[in-house]
Amino acid sequence: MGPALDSSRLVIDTGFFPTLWRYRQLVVQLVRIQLLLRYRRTALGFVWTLVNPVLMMSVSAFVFSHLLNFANVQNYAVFLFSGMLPWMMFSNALTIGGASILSNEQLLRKVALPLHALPISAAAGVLIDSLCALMALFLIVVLLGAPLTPALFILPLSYMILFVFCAGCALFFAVVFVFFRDMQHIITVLIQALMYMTPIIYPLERIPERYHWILQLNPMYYLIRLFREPIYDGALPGLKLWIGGVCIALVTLVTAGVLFSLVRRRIVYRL
Amino acid sequence: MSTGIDIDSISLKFRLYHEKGSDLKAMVAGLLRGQRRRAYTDFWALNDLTLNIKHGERVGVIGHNGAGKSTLLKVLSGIYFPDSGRVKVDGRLCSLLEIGTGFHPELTGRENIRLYASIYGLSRVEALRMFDDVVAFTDLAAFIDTPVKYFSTGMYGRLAFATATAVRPEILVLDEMFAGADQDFIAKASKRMIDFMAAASIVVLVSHELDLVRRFCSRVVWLDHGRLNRDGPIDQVLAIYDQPVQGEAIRPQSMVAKALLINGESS
Repeated sequence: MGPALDSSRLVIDTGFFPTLWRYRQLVVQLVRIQLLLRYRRTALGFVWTLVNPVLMMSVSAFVFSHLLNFANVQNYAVFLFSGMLPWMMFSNALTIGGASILSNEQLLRKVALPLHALPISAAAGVLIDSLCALMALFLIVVLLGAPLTPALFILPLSYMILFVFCAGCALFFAVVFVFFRDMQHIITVLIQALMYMTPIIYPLERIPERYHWILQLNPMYYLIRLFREPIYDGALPGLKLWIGGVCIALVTLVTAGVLFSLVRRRIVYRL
Repeated sequence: MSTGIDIDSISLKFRLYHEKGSDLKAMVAGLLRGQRRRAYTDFWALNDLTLNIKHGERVGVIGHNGAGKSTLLKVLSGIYFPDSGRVKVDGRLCSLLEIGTGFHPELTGRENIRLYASIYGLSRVEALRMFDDVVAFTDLAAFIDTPVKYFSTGMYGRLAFATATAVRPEILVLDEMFAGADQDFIAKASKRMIDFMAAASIVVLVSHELDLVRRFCSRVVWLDHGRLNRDGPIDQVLAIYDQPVQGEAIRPQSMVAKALLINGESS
C-alpha cells in the first residue's frame, strides 16, 4: 500500500475564526491531549477529573465554614461551590492557556501553525474539565439539599459567556507571556489575590458597603453571579447582569484578538 | 493546476537579543535614565532575495552555515515573515524541517500520527489513511498503542519518517533531517523517500550533501550571507562552489541523505 494522502493544506492566514474552523482537528487533538495526559496511567484515570474537584471543594468547604465562621451562610458548601466552579475555570484558563504558546516553542519553530488555536484549545479543555466537575458536584449538592430549580437550565448560557471570556484571557496572556516572560511567575500570585478580592469564599455582605465598588471593578464578580444565582439562589440572573457578562466576554476576546493580530508575526522570533 | 513560488526581493532581519525576553528591571532602569539601552543587535538573515521557482523544478539550496538557507525555508513554510518584499506560493505546500516534529513522548504511536495529521491540517479521513499507511510501512502494529517514549531510537525514527512522508504536497520543502535509523530500514526508506519527492510538483531541498543535490536537483541556488550568490543549472553552479572549508561544522549525514544515496549505489 502506498502513501494515501492527497492533500496537505498549509495556508493558514484566512482570518481568526475561519482558520480555527479549518484547523478544528488540531483543536480536537490538543484538547484530547490536555485531558488525556494528566491522568494517564493512574488507576482511576479519567475518574480523577470528577473526584478531584469534589475533594478539593469538600476540604475548602470544611475549612472555611469552620474557621471563618460562615455558619450563618445557609448551605455554605453549595455557596462555595457555585463560586469556585467558574473561578477554577478562569484560573485554569489563565495558567494553562497562558503557557500554551511558550510550552510548544519547539514545535512552533518548525511548523507553521495557527498560534491562536493553542490558547483557545486550552480554554476548551478547561471548559470540559469544568463541566465534568459540575456533574460530579451536582450530585453532592443535591444530597446537601440545594434547590433543584428550573433556573439551573440557564447554566449553558452562563458557560458560553464564561468560555468566551476565558478564551480571550488565555489568548491575551499566551501572547503577553511570550514578550514578558516574568509575567508567568507573577500571574499565580495575581490570580490568588484576585480570588480573595472576589466574593467566592465569602458573601458580598461581609464586606463593608463602602468597599463594594472595588469588588465591582473585577470582571469575575459579574461572571460568578451568572453561576451563583442559578445554582445557589435558584433564581435567574437579571437582564443587566447578562448584558454585562456578554460585554465583558466580548470586549476581552476582541482585545486579545486585536493584540494577537498586531504581534502574531513577531511571536516566533521571541520563542 | 500549475504550482509556483515567487519570491520578490525579500529581506528578513533578525534581532539577536542578548537576553531573551524583556527584563523588567532593565526596562525600568532604562526608562529612569531616560535612555533605551539597546539589548539587541540586528542581523540580516536574508537580504534583498529574489527567486522564482516554476512548476516541475527541483531546486537545491546550498551555502555555508549562516548563509540563510534555513531562514529561506522557514519563510517558504510560513513560519517566518519577511520584513520587506513579497512571497507568493501557488499550491499546497508542506515543509519538513525536521523528522519527529510535533511528536509527543507521552502519546502513543497512534495518537502521535493523529496529532501530526492535525498539525498539518489534514482531515479526519486523511488522518486515518495516514495511519494505515504508516502502520503498513513501519511494521509497528504491535507497538502502535505504546507511548513513543518507550520506543527504541530506531523504532521512533521509523515511525517519524513514515509519518512525515505520508503526506502528498504539491510543493515540498525539505531540510536536512536527523540521523539515526538502522541500515535495513534505510534501504526500505529509500524508495519511499524517492516516491515522496517524485509526487511533488516542486521540491526545494536544503542540503550540505552535494551528492544528494546532484542526484535530485536540476537547479541550484547558492546563498551567501543572505544574498543570492549564484542561481542556475546544477553543473554550472557546483563547478564554482567552494566546499565548506576544513573546520566548519559539517552536520552528520542525515538519515534522509543516507536513504537517498544508498539507492544511488545499488542502481
